[in-house]
Amino acid sequence: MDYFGKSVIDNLGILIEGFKTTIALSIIAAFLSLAIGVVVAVMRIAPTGGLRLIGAVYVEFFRNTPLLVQAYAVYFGLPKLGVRLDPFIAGTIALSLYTGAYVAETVRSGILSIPTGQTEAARSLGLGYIQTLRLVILPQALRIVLPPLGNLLIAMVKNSAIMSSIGLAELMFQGEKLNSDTFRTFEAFTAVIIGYLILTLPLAWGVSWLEGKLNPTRQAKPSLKGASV
Amino acid sequence: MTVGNEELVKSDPLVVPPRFQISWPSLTGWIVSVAVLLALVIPAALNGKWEPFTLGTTWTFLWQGLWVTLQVAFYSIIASMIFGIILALGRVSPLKIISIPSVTYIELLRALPSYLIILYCFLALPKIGLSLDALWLAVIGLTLYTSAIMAEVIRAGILSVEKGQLEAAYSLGLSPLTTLAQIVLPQAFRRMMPSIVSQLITLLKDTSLAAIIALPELTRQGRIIYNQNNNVLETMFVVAMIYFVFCYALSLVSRKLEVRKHR
Repeated sequence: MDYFGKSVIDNLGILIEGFKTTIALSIIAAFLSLAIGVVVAVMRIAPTGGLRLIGAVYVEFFRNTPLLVQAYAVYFGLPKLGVRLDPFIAGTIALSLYTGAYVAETVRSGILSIPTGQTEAARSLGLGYIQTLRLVILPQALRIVLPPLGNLLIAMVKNSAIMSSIGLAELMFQGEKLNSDTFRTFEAFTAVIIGYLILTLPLAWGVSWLEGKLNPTRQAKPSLKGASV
Repeated sequence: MTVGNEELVKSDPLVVPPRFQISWPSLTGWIVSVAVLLALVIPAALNGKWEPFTLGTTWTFLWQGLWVTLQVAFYSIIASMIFGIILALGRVSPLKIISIPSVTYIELLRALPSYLIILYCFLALPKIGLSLDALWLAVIGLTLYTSAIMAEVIRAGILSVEKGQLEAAYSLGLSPLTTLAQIVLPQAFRRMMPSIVSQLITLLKDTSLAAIIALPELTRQGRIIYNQNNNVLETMFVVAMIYFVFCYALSLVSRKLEVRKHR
């Protein structure tokens, strides 16, 4: 018997495989981009002008060029330099570098929002520059930027779909494969759409819950910022 | 830091390292980082296969792609603004039959990858009898996604206009529609401009996704060039720099508007 969704039920295994790959990719890239972002944010506020220059070049280059172009460069370009990567690793690198630039800007804005008095107090207590950052400034800054970081995480999960174009077998890739194998476009895409909504909608609810918790007075007001990632 | 404190802080080396002063660690930092950047750039420049970019034909080919990219971005941003206004007004409408579909549309489309939406348009629209040019499929896909985000930006702009403005307009005898068109929207748009420009940057970058539906835009043209010349990194660098020029210029505009807003 043939019914709507049969092709999806029959191939649920590969779709779930893709769903798991999307989750794994997102988690690894989230940690990597957070690490990159914090390091670059600290570089961009460093007293050494040269570090600020490198940080700025990194952030502006990766934020102002398309992720697809970066993914092509990493996956098809690096083998020319003798670095052969499988799609998962290449995809993770491209996604982390791209998102890291956004994380860096977000964390930097968090650091800049901490009153200077905090630095002054820490320095007068005898903490060094690195200690001040690590023990006083960063813990407060990261707490403030938690909701925007959550929004970046959502954007990153969505951007991970782009990696199917370099052959990373995540959810979108498996959906495309199902479509080209069965020609059941509507069924395949309905399944993929549900897969992404399962990931992004709870994250979005989580972020607005967090916003309300960290800043109760500004609850329920939509942000002017949009989702520019 | 208050103005009165500034003198005190500057004279105290313990507190904050003074900024515009040449110190040896700072100078060393500059030299090291410029050296690092040059060490990355010079070997790439010398060993790369740059000959294709000395030919006029390559640049004509890229220019054709850029023109398609700019067209897609232009049509999509205009259409997204129009649908965004409609969706935003729909969302704040008191009629449930209008507001519920608007909210559902905005929340669902915002939560999906734009890659998925473009590909879905490309594969599904011909199946329901709409065979369009790839350019229009890309515009439709990007508009479906961007209008949902625009709607939220516009709604935030509308809600940011103070209530007193509405009350004043009504007490002057203006109709709700006139109030919206002449009082609320002009003020809302001025506040939304930085967000709209940064969304335009995202849109411009997202047009590259149309490469997967075989639209000959900038990224697609770049792929054709590197497949012919076997120089992926060089071509992708040039293509990235073309996007960069436009996006960076827009980001400067957005920053300028942001400063003006806070004045």
